[in-house]
Amino acid sequence: MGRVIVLTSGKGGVGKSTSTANLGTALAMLGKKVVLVDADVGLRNLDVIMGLEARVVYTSMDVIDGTCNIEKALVRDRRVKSLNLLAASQKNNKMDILPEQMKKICKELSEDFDYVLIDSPAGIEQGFQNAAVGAEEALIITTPEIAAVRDADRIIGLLQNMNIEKMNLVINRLSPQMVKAGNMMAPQDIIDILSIDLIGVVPEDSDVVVSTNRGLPLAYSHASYAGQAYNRIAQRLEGEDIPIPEFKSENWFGQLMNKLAGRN
Amino acid sequence: MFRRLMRLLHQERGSKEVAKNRLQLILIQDRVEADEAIMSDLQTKLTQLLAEYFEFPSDDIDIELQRDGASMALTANIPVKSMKRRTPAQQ
Repeated sequence: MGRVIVLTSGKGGVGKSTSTANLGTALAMLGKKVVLVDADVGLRNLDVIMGLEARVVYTSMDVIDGTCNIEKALVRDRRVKSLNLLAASQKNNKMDILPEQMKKICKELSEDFDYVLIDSPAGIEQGFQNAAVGAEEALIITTPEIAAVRDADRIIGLLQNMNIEKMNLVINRLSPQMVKAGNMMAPQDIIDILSIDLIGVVPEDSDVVVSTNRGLPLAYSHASYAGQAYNRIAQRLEGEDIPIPEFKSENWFGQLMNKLAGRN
Repeated sequence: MFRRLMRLLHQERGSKEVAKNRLQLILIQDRVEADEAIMSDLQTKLTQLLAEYFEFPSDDIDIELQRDGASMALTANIPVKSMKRRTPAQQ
């Protein structure tokens, strides 16, 4: 039985789909059999980020109403062989799928794959509930912003109520310079507040936009900082003990010196 | 140069401290609001404890979480009818 993990955040725009695509790519490159499930019914995005949009024929909706079996609905990635996508239907909405149906899909996939990564929609309504119902663990994606961390806290509470105990935090879009200058919450500040385990920090990286434009997840090459960060998270998920680089603010003297030198 | 130095020294602390403090207060409120059981549980337990010392109309206890500028306060308004003759400490 593989691991079923939901990637969720509450707030939109913090990088759930980007993280799902990149972690999936990184895990598949480690030789794992991976399937990504887009649970954002009606607003699907994962196919585009993966660069697979032209090859989507069937969706999870077709599996549910019996049009095809699950095997046939999967889109296989061409670059990384063991990576697959189950796309979301664009013409239905989140209420058209029942939690029980989603649970069944997750269970079936977990029999054939090492990792089932579910990309949750933003919000805390039915779409989120459906995304989380079949998962045994969660990756909470947040950014070092007050609104994103607040929503993450709410999501953590809801997942606990759904009896998902295993949760790890991914801090996305961290700017090391701003943290250094004392103008962005450092990972430790966020962990203090949310009190869950941190599994990785992904730095702000303009290459993410370029990779989305091209439909080629960053994790595929080790050239970018963000891509490297996702590869390390994948290794940590696999149980490897890789230390998380420290980001913290400089003391007042360092900050003063930076300001005098006109940096930040 | 000197004026610039003075201005920097007087500048407010990094905005991340402000964010962290605001967030901590917001989350106290959020967590309490998200789980109604917290306040009613607190009310029940507080009533039981206070009943060992005072007599009061038990349904009249009013507990509130209030934001007061940069801090949060838990206030309880409890009208006391009388003090018990024997408190647990004397028994």
